[in-house]
Amino acid sequence: MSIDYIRNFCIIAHIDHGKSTLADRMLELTNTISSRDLVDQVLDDMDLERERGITIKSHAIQMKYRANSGDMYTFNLIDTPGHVDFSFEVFRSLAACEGALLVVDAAQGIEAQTLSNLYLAIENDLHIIPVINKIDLPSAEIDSVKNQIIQVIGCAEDEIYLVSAKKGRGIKNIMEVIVEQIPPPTGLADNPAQALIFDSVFDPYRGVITYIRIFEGKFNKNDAIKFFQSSKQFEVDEIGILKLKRHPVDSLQAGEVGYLISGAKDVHETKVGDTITLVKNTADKPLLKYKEIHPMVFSGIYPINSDDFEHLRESLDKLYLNDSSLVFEPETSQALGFGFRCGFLGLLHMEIIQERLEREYKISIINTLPNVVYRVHLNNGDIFEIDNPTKLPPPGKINYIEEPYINAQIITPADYIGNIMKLSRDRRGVFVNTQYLDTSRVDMNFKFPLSEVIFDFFDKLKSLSRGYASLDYEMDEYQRSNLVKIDILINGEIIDALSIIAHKDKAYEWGNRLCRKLKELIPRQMFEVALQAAIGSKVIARTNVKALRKNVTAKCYGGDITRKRKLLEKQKEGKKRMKKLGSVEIPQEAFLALLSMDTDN
Amino acid sequence: MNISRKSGLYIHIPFCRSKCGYCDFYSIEDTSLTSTFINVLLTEIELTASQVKVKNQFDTLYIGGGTPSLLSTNQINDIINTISKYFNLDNDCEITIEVNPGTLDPTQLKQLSDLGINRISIGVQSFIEDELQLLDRIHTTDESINAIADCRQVGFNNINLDLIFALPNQTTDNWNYTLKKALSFLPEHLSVYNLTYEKETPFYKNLMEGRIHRLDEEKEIEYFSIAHSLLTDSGYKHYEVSNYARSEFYYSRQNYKYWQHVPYLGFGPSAHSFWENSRWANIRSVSGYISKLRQKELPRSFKEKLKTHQLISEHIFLALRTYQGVFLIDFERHFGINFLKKFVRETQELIDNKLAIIHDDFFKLTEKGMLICDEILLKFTVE
Ligand SMILES: Nc1nc2c(ncn2[C@@H]2O[C@H](COP(=O)(O)OP(=O)(O)OP(=O)(O)O)[C@@H](O)[C@H]2O)c(=O)[nH]1
Ligand code: SF4
Ligand SMILES: [Mg+2]
Repeated sequence: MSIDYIRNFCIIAHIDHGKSTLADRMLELTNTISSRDLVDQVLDDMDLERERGITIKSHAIQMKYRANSGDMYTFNLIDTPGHVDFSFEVFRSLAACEGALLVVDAAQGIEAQTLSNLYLAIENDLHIIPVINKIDLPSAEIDSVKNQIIQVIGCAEDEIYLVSAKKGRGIKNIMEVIVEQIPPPTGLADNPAQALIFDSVFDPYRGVITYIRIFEGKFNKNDAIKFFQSSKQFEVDEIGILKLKRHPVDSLQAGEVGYLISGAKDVHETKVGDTITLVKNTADKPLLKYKEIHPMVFSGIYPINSDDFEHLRESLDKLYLNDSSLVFEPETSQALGFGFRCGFLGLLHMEIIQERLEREYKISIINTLPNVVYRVHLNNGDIFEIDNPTKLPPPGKINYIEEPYINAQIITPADYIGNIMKLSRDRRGVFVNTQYLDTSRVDMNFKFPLSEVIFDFFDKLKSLSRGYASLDYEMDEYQRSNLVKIDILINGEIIDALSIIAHKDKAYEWGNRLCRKLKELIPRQMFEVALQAAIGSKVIARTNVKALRKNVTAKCYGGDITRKRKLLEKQKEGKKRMKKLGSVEIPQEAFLALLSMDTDN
Repeated sequence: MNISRKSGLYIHIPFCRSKCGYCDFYSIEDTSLTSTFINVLLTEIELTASQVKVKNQFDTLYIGGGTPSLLSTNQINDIINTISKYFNLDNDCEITIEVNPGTLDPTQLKQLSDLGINRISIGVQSFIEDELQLLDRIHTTDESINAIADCRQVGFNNINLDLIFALPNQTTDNWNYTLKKALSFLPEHLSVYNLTYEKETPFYKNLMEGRIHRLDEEKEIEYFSIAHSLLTDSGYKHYEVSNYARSEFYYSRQNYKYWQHVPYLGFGPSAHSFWENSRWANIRSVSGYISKLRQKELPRSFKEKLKTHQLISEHIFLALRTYQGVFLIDFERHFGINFLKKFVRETQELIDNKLAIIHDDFFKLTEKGMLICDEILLKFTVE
C-alpha cells in the first residue's frame, strides 16, 4: 500500500460534542462495522464508558474508504476523550496523526476543551478541519458558532463543515475533505525504525499490547525491538492493524497505525509516549521527548478488609498497566491500616479508578479526601513536598507552605460573568483577563489554588451558568499560602485519614462542614460519638452522633432460632463494609460522601 | 427455678378463624382440613418417634399455633394421648395451650384442664377496643376478660397473657390502661411484645405504602420502659426481652429450652426442632404437610447440623436475650473458651458504657443494653 493513500487523524472536541458518534457514522459508511454490531458510540468499549456515556481512553480503528475519485484510502482514526482529566490522552493521540477533526456542538459553541484541544493540535502541527456537529438540533446556532470558529482558527467560512453525526448528515463530505486536506504521512520504510506508542493496554492473555504509529522504517513479526525509555529489548510476537478486533499482519511500515505485542509483561517497559526502534536498524533518537505525566490530586486508597491489601496491590498494578498516569505507593494510616497513596489526573480519574477496583477487582475500598501536593519550607531551610496532610510537620518547624496554582480558562456566555467573578472570589481566585470570542461569548482567565478547584468547583460553575460555562486548566506555579492542618477527632482520637489542609480563613467553615457531614453519615452506634475538628490542640468545631437507643427483636419466633442466627450472620456481613475507626464503625459510603460534600455555604 | 434440661415438645396447629394483620405465624383460615390434619399429625409423631429413637425424658408439651382452641376436645385428647404413647412425659410435665378469647367456652376449658393441660396462654393483646380492631383480632375486650375469668374459674393457676405495644397511634394512656388491666388479673406470666412489621404481612404492606405509621423510636422505648417499671414494681421478673413472670417458678419452661440449647421436637407445619445439635423445620403448608405424611415421609423444609462456631454464637445470643445472661462457668465448661477473655474488648466496652455487667459469674445486659440487644449481639458472633 502506498503511503499516499493513508490518512491518520483524530477527532477532538469538548466533552459530549459528539466525537464518538461521528466516529460511529464513519465506521458505518465504510462498512468497517456491520450494522448488526453497531451500537451507539461503538468505540467506547469499556463498561464504564458505556455506562457513563463518555470516552475515557483513546480508541484507534482503521477503515477503508473508496473516495469519489475511485481510489481506496486507509483511514486510521483515533477517537479521544473530551474530559479535562484525560487531556494527556488527547495529546498522545495527536502526536500520532497528521490531521484533526475539531468538532464543535452547534448548540453549545466553543467551550473550554475545544480551545485547549485545538491549541494542542496546533502545537503538534496538525491540519485542522473544523466541523460543526448536531446541526439537527432546534437550538443549533450555526452562524454564531461559525463566527466563533473563524475568530479562533482564522479560517474562511466555507472551510467549516456542517454535520449531524446522529442523523448521519454531511458525513460523506467530511470523508472527502479528509482525503483532500489531511496530508498523507511521510517517512521511509528503509529508514531506521521509529514507532510512537500512543496507547497501551494490558491483556491478561497477551501481556502488554501497544498501539503504535510508525513514523520511519518497517517492523516485521519476529523482529528484535527496543524501547527507548526503558532500553529493554523484546521480540515482536505479533503485529497488526486495528479493526474492531485486532488483525495480525506480517509487517507494518512508515505511515501506518497498528498494534504490536512483544512479550513485554509490564507497561513500565512500554511507556506511552515512548519510541520503539529495531535492534538491527536503530534510530538515534526517540520521536518525542518523553514527558512523565504528573498527577494533580492525591488520595489514600485502603481496603475495607485489611486482608485485601495484597489483592489491592495486585489490582492497582494491573490498572497501572492500562493507565500509566496512575501512580501509587504504599502508606499506612493509624486509622485505616495499610493502603496506598495514589495520584490521579483529577477527580473523574479518581472516581474511575475507584469504580474499577470495586467492579473489576471486587475490592471494597475507602478513598480519603483528595488533596494536592504541598511544598513545605522548614525553618532550617529544608524544602520538601507532601502528598498527604498527615505528613505536615508540626507548625513550629514550618517557615511557610506553598500550594500549586492553576491557570484556569472559563468560557461562558457574557451573562454569567458576574456569577463567575463571585465564585472566583469564594475560591481565592486571581482574575487575569477576559477576551470576547464574539459579542456574547467570553474567555475568562484566572489563577486558582488547585485545591479550590478539585472539589465541587466544576458543578458550581455549571449550576451558576445553567450549564453553559466550561472550564479548562493547566498547572501553573506554586505560591505561598496561609495554610493550616485540620484534624478530625472521633471520640477524642485523631483520625489521621480525615485530616485535611485548608486555607486559614476557611478553616472554621471546613471544620464545621466536616463535622456536620460526618454526623449525617455515621450511623448511630451503641455509644454516643463525639466529633471534633481541631487545629493543633484548638477545637474549632464539634458535634455528636447520639447513641443508638433501641434495636431489639421482640420475639425469637418460638423455636425458630435459625432465622435469628441467619439474620445476625447477614448483618455481620453488612458490617464488613464498615471500617472501624477507633471504637466507631463508619460505612464505606461515608468516605465517598465526603467527596461530594458541598464546600460553599 | 422452673427450668430444666429435660427435652421439650411443640405442636403447631395451623388454623385461625381469621388472620390478624400483623401476624406472620403460619396458619390458614380454611379449617376444612382439620380432621385430616390431626390424623397426619399423629402419623408425624409416630414416625418421628421411630426415627429419632427417643429415650429422653420430656417435661414440656406446648400446643401452639395458629389457634389450638379451634380444635375439639377430642382432637386435643388424641394429640396428648399419642404424644404420651411415644414419649416419656414427666409427671409434672408443663402442658401449655394457646387460646384465643374469641373461641372459648367454659365447658371446653374445663375439659382441657381435665386432659392435664396445666398452663394456658391467652392472646389478649390489648384491652382497648379500637386497638383490637386495628390488629384484626376476632374478639372484644369483654371476651378477653371473660376468658381470663373462666380460666381461673376452672382452676388454671398458671396463666399467660400476650400483650402487644407500639401500635400505630397508640397513646401512653392506652398502654398504661392495658397493662394495669392485665395486672388486675394477677397473671402468672406476661408476654409483652413490641409490634414488629414482618415482611409479607398486611401490616408491613400498609407501612410500606404509607397507610399506617410506625410509632417513633422514642415512644417505643417509652412503652418498653413503662411495661418494665410497672410490671417489675408489681413484683414481676423481667426475665427475657419480652417475657415477665410473677416468680421464677412461672418462667416459661418451654421458652427456656429454646434459649438454652435444650433439645426439643416440633410437630405440625412450620414447627422447628433442635435435636442432637441439628436444627430442622417442617414446611409451611398444610396441604404439603398432609401429602408428605400420607406417603409416610417427614415434611421437612430444611435440616442443618450446627457447627461448633454456630452453636457458640447461638448460645451467646440466646443467653444475652435473657436477663440471666451468659453463665461464664457453664460457657467455659461447654465450649472450652473463656468468654471474657475471648471478648475482652467487647465486654469491657459494654461494661464501661453501662450496657452490661458481670454479676455472680453471669455476664448480662443491663436494661439500657437490652434495648439495643440486637446491635450488641452482632459483636458476639463467632466465625
Ligand atoms: N441531536 C444530536 N445529538 C448528537 C449528535 N451527535 C452526538 N449527539 C449526542 O451527544 C451526546 C454525546 O455524544 P458522544 O458521541 O458520546 O460525545 P463525545 O464527544 O464522544 O463525548 P466524550 O467522549 O465523553 O467527550 C450523545 O447523547 C449523542 O447521542 C448530533 O448530531 N445530533
Ligand atoms: S390468632 Fe394468633 S396465630 Fe392466628 S393470626 Fe391472629 S395472631 Fe396469628
Ligand atoms: Mg466519546
